[in-house]
Amino acid sequence: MTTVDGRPDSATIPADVSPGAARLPGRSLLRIGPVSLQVRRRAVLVAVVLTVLLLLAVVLSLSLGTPYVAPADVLRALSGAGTPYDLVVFDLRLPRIVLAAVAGAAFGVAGTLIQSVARNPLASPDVIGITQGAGLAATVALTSGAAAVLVAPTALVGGLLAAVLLFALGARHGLAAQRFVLAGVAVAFAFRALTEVVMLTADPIDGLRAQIWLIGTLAGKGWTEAAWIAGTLLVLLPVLAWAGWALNSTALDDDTARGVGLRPVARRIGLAGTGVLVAAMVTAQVGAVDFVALVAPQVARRLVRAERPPLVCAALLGALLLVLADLAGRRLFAPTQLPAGVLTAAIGGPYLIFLLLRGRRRSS
Amino acid sequence: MRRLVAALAAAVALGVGLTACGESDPVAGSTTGETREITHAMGTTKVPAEPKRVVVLDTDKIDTALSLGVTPVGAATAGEAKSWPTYFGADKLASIKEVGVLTEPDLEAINALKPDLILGSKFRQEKFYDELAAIAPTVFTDKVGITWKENFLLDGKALGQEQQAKDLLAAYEKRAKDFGTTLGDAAARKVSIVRFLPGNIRVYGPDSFSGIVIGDTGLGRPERQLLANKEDKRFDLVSPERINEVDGDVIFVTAYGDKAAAEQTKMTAGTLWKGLGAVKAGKAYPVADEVWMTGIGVGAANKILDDLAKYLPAA
Amino acid sequence: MLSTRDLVAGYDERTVLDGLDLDLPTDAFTVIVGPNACGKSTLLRTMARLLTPRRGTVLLDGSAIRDLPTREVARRLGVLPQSPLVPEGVTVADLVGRGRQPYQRWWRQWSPEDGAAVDRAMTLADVAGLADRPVDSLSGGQRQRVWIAMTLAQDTDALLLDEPTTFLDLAHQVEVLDLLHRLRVERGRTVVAVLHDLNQAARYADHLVAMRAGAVVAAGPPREILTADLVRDVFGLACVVVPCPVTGAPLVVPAHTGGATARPVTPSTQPADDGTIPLAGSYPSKGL
Repeated sequence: MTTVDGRPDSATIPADVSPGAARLPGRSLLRIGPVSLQVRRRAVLVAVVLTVLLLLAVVLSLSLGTPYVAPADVLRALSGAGTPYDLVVFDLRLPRIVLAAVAGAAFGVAGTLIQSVARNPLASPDVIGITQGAGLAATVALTSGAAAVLVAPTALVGGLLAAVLLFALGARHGLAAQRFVLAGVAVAFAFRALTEVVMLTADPIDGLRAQIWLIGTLAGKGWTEAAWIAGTLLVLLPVLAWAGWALNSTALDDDTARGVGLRPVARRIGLAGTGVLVAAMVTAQVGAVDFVALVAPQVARRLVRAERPPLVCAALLGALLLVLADLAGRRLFAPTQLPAGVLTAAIGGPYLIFLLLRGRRRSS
Repeated sequence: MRRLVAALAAAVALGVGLTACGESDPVAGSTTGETREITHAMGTTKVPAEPKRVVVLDTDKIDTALSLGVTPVGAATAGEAKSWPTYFGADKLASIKEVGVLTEPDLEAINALKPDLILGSKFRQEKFYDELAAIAPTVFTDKVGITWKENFLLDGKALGQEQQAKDLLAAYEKRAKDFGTTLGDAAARKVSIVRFLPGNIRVYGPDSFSGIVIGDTGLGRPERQLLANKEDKRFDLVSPERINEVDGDVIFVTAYGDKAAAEQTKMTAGTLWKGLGAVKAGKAYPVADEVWMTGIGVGAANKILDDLAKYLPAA
Repeated sequence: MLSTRDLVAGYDERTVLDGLDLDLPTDAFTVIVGPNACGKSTLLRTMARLLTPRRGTVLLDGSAIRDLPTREVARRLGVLPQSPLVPEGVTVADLVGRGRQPYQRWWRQWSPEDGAAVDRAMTLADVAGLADRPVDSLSGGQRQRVWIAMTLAQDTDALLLDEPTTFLDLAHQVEVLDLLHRLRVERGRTVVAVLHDLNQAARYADHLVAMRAGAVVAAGPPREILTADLVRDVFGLACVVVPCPVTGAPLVVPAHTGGATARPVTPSTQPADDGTIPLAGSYPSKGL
């Protein structure tokens, strides 16, 4: 040990401590040139497993249906060899499967960011009103006979409007977790009520279309929607790289965070802002597919055994969930097509009950 | 939690494992032959001169096809009121395959039917057009309801029955006009159209399908149902407390689906309903929703004329 | 060195500090004491830039703290707020690692220096053996040492702690205070803490700041300033001040017994005119 008053500065290391001996438990350092990232070893393992499962699910989804296309033929078609199945594989199945993967990943990302800021495993875009904002706008567009191409942009505006309202209500209190959730619930209720009003005065078949939108579906959607979502994620990539790191500190309370030189309010606004942006975009494109944003981050968190949802694993799990939900929706009751949102709700509902029961057990 | 993911993984692996050993189902090659060009809501499309395997994606197009003697190989259903128009006789529908709900058609089921023509509507299925067009030549009408006569002629043209469609439409219009003249001063008779939907009640205006048919006969409408101050003259909501607004010399009542039918039964048993002039005079008639509301074709229009002839005696 | 100039601070409508000037000595263990709501926590929080003052400045080594980037402040000034929220499921090493935040960026998340600093901090705070344990599974005393380790990992010259011994039992209180004392003596850190217990303050502090109603009543070495008059002034409590039998530091003993049975008064323990009791006989352990 160093002697009295011999305070070591950070460059000199006490003799009994080997250089860099303290590794954070369960983590490795990933060095790429000047960049060094902390990586949870378990997160890497989970990410690899989820990627393999996602690829298998995609092949499975490309295979099943009318006609059935054997995986070998799917791969042949994908390689561009020119098979009689090109129409089915490329035009009917691939676009919406890719969309499902991209949208699921985006929901996972949005959910992770929103839950971390809200410090609440039950928070998701539909709890804080983003979905309802987009839903109201989409319902208005769908029931007023607006062109189909206008539905998504209108819904995006609606979702962002809800986000602005959310921040206006929550930011005065530094977007503190509880305030953020409360503001969101208020926004959600207001927009939902307005949607009901619009729905009531609509033609039944328009109303049905709006209802399907509100549940969320990938039918009749594909490359365009996937490109919008993927583009958004790509543009936000630097922000997301920062977010992956910044999420680490959302578990600290504001005073502690300030003590270690963070700006917790700015950080929360940045993270929540990114989250709602992604949520608004993906909801605008595929509708209110709920529960993916809720479930994926928490399941991923448990798999990685981390104290907060891991961004990449949540995205991969979201993609896997939505690909499977879409496949089930297409095939379970064919020719009746169930919107993907119905299936995700079927998984998410019981999960929500599980979370609530667990929460009760822990708090008692 | 781990168990859930393990189960997910097992399901995916099992699915892939099972499918990996299978053989692909065969698919048919595309048909070639004589074609015609049709200009429609989504552009210009080459369709076979005589389409043999037609898939229709809206109830009005079932009416159109059956009116022109073409039985579709597949048709979409209309959500809550799932059944197809039965007024052509159930045997006509027996061979038609269901291809999903009209707002969410099952593209793979449509593809499996190997159609050579798909009829749909831009209003309903715009987002599916690209995929549908990849499956078979697809012709879309623009709007629903108001333009039903134009839609009928366009679909007739696509089906290769342009002249027959024109003839049928002309015959219907002549019949409507002739019927009107048998009534003497037809315009003096105010015909009210009321529809029950789950949770709300509507009156139908001059731009609705049944409103257009009534208009073709020259019959009059109650002031309230002319919807003079509204831009959308298809329908308007009526609150149950103000049901007296639906009165007319004669009232035709329909209900969309079972839930609405129950609401109709409840309302028509009440004192408010029984206080209506037409009800007191015994001139309120329940009629088929599929004819007056969802049929939207020459077949349904003729059925409405049948109803009118039945309930409105000549002067 | 930390100083305040004409500091005005408070919460919402309430002004707690009104024009406070204070200089805290470097390389000393300063303890701030005072009755509840006297503004001692407000002062500490304002100096730690957790609370923005309405007027006036906090000076860190002569420059206004609000003009310094918060990361730089965090490299010079460590802060342990009152009862920080324990994040669920975070391990000790992980939490201590958060103390390295001011040296990290998202593209430079860990360096050998970070590892060394975390090691040193855990060894110093005696939590190295707990490195892989989740913080929420630890006892109160262990947790507090982990939090202190986190602020130590920041490698700052000065440490500010807001009531670091609250909610701890006596043994753990002593444990934490001993650690702070060692930091000051062995590592030459400047330590500033708000404490509730006057006797502990007197025992450990090099420099005592007594506050009442948002103002500093007295400041200086405890042996010089801690008198019965001061305690009466600051706390409104009649007491006697005697030297501690162990350290010789002033020991404050309430003068009236309340419901408790008074010790039979013997001539040798009769309070002297100056309020001190001659160092003789045994002392009641109650209240220590």
